[in-house]
Amino acid sequence: MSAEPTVHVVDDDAGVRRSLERLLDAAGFRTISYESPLAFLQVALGLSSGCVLLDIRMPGMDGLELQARLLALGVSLPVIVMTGQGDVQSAVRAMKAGAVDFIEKPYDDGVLLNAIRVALATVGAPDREHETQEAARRIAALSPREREVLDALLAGRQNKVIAFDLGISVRTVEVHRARMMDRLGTRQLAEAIRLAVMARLAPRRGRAEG
Amino acid sequence: MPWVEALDDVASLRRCVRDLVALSTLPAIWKDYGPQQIADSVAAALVSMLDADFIHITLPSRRDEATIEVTHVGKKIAPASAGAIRTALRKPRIGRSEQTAIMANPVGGGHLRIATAPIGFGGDAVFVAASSRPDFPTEVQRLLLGIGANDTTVALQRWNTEAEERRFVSLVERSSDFVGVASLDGVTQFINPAGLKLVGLSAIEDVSRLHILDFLIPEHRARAHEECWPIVMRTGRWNGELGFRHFKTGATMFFLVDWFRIDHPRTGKPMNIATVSRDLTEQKRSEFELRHLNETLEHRVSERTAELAEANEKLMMEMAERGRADERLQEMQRELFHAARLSTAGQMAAALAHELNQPLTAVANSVHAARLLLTKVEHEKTPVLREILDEASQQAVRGGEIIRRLRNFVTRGEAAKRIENLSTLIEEASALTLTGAGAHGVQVHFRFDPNATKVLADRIQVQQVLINLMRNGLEAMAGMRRRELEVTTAFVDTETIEIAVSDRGPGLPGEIAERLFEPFVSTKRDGMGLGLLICRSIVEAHGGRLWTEPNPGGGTIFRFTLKSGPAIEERHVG
Repeated sequence: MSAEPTVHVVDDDAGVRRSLERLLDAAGFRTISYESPLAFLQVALGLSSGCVLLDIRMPGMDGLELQARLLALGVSLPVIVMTGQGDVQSAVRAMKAGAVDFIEKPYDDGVLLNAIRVALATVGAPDREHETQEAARRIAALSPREREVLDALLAGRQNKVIAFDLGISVRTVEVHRARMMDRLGTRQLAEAIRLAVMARLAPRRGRAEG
Repeated sequence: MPWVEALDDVASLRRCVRDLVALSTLPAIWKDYGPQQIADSVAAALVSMLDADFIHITLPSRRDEATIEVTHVGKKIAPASAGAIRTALRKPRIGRSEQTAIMANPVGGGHLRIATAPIGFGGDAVFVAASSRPDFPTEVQRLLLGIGANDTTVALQRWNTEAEERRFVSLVERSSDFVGVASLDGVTQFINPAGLKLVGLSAIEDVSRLHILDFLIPEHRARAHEECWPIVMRTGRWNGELGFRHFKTGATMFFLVDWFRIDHPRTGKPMNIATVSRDLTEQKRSEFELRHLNETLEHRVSERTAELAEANEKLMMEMAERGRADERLQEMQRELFHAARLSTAGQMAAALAHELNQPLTAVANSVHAARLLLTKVEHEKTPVLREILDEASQQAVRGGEIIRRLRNFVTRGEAAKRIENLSTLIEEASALTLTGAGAHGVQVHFRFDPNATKVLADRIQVQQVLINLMRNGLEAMAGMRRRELEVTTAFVDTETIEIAVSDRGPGLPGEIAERLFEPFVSTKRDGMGLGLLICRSIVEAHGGRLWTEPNPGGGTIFRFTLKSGPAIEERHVG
């Protein structure tokens, strides 16, 4: 781990950029921000430490595309993706594309700072084995119905669509959803989705690296 | 015939009496006889037995028949004189009693002594015997005359009875109805020929082996036995419809049955059960034929009506078909405008919510940064500053919550996404765009990638995006000589399709291009600056992106991506 851990912030919104710089500075992180994905790509090849805090929604090239480019360039900095509210689909895609985490805007600073600390700790070859195993264990504890509801949420479907697809009432979906959250030990849908995505990554990563 | 001279000749008298009695019984075995013959034979016998010169018999008149009169004369009187004697006899009206009358002989000299005897039941019927012998009538002669009169009465009575019987029998025999008689326990005793023929029995068959119930179809037997028969026995009669069975063919024939009890005329004791039953087959058949005729007629009428209705429907369908192309366009327009009105507010809210997230995030970041810094500073006002920042933070969180609720609210009615045919979707949107004002003289070119045919989309929302982009293009080219709009589709990867709308307008000024998607920024004087924001919101809700770039040949290109239909399906399956 670098002595001066650097957080590379990529966000096209100047206000968000500046405020993030201030926050991360105050939290003790070295911060460099970029106003566009292209600006970051120009320096990315030379980077060997730190993490990337990436806004998923930017003009020209969005966060997902930047992620793909970084991967293609062999830049292995851990990436945290910032998504808009309820943009579950993007979050899932970001996680699948190799992001270590995602957070919804607007976020609690504790969540953000914690995510950055975790990301910085996994610099190099991110070893997710423990995390993915744990996620898989928790997901496995769900009932089949709860699992179906989680999968549907993961696919970005709304409660009423899930109800229709499963042939149950919206109220019942809500009940399953609440129980599912309880069992996973979380109150945030984002966390539940993160667990589900992690659990999916578990066997694939295990095979690829083991 | 013997002539009886005196009472002492008993043998002769006995013979005479026997002959007269025989007259009253013998006629019954004659083949054809009647009152005339009876009177004739009696008169002939009496002329001989009484040695009378003249016997005249007037028979009792029956209803409207003419009175029968028979006159026989003895050897002394010429038959031609009978009429004169008869006429003479009528004058004194002598035939009323058994008294002897004397009158002048109308056909010869001297007198005729006349004896009379009444026949039967009074009235004009009378036996008149006349003789010129002075001792006429002797007691024997008067006795024989009386016996003759009595036996004639008996013979006539018998004849009348037999005539009644014959009429009755012929009535029964010739009736076309089924006439039958049975014993009280139901055993058949007699069936008329018509009856036998109706049920398929031949005349030589012994009907007494049959029970009344044997004539009925099995399903009517219980009813006949348990309901009808007791009614006949109790009340004397039952009327109704019953099914008869044809003994040869087994066919069912419906009969209107009249069952009645025959009681002894004097004792009133029930003797027989009889029936006169009418075959309803013909009647039923004509009823059926009439009904069938009616039904056929009705059927033909309804058939014809159906044909007419069908032809009419075809005509209507053709008319509808003709109007359909226009109607489809109008309907889409209505649908789109309606949906647009309903959803614009929601999409505006969604788009704005997204935009508001950015400054809110910045506020939250800044507050958190300040609070973190504050932990390193000790000042007497530090606790108050911390409180202020906490409140600011809470308000930022509250703002975020409001936006979250708003988003949830407006996305609740969101997007019924289906797999849509992309070219159809674009062509319809184009047609709708070009129906508006200011589209005159604009050329629209399509270039569709054959590998990009299906998209997963809410048709109306995506068409709203297309119309918005195409209108922007048209407006950008307003007043220009060359007005060309191009819409292209392209396969990007298995999950993504890109759609581009290019215009040949002046292009976007740099400062506008940068802030294009910010709310309330517009190149149009009267534009609200929300159109593109909403477009982007819709595209993003479809999992796609919307951006712009300059058109190399001059003008602007708007590009957006959508998820391709089949790829989505495959992913769901996998």
